[in-house]
Amino acid sequence: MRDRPDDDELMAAVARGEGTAFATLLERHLERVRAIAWRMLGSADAADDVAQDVFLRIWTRPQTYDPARGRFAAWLSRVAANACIDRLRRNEPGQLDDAAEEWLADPAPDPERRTMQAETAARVRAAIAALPERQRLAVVLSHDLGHTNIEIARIMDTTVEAVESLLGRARRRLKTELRGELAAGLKDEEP
Amino acid sequence: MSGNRKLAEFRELLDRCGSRPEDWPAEKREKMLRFCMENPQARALLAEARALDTLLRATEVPPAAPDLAARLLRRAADIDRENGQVPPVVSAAAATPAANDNRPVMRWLASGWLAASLLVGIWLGFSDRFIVPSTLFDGNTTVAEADGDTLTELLGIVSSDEEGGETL
Repeated sequence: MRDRPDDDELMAAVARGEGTAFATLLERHLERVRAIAWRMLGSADAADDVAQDVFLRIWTRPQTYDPARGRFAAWLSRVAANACIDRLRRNEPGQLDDAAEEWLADPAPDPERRTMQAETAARVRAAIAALPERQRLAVVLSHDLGHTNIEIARIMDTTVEAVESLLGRARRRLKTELRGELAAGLKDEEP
Repeated sequence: MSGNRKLAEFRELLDRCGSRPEDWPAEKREKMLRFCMENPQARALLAEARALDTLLRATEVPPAAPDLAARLLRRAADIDRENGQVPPVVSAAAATPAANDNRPVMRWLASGWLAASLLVGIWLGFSDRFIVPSTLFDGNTTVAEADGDTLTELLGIVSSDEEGGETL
């Protein structure tokens, strides 16, 4: 295997039972899965649980990934998103409510790593958490993970037009909810 | 198209596709960028959309539990053990490319080396003690950088009493 094998090569190695490849995938993509789960479920513990479910599925059923149907990162996002939606549906109905304190808490232990004031960050998190489930997922996939709308459509098993509609409604709502923060941000950018 | 209608179209584009022109439909990109250069209200809308993107990207995901990766690797090993397979931390060194479709069977038949691995696996089943080097997933060391090529070497299958390390 090359020094830095791509994800498809690693998945082929996982299918052969190579634990090193599994560890490399885990290291490379753990934060991607946790980002989706944290945004969707609002709890760091739940995010860790989802990450465990998702990666154990990779280990036990690597053959469910088909590279011909899109890149690994998009497939992984889909698996993670489905795991989150399953949890929300099983619910755990009060999962987000129960996690409200965690949403509002400062997630960054290192002050130097903070890129915005804690109060603003809390309002942004709360605004995203208040979005309907599918709008929230589309925002997470687009903004947190940088997926294109085409990829999001594949991940969410819908059309590009539907994704654009979800994102459009989500952004309009977020602009309303966060108008104070937006105004402050725009003012900061003025010359 | 009137200025107001074009402005409404631009607002809709920003809502649906975001503030990055590379995410806009190719057939609209040049036209809308030109409109944006000519129209101050369009520029204000673009600035607002960029500010929203910045806000949404600026919140950080809290860090994972420090032992999450190690727990996950241990659980993967447990699953193989429960399924009667050689633990992955051991079998990684023994797996052959041909073992793709029936890896448990091929592992069992592969070699005497594999038999030794199985004995280690059985011992692990009773001892349930793995040591994860403190450098693994500490954020500073990548798997590729770590010594050894297999999880056997990465994790180190030794007793905590022998090494004084963290018992999982």
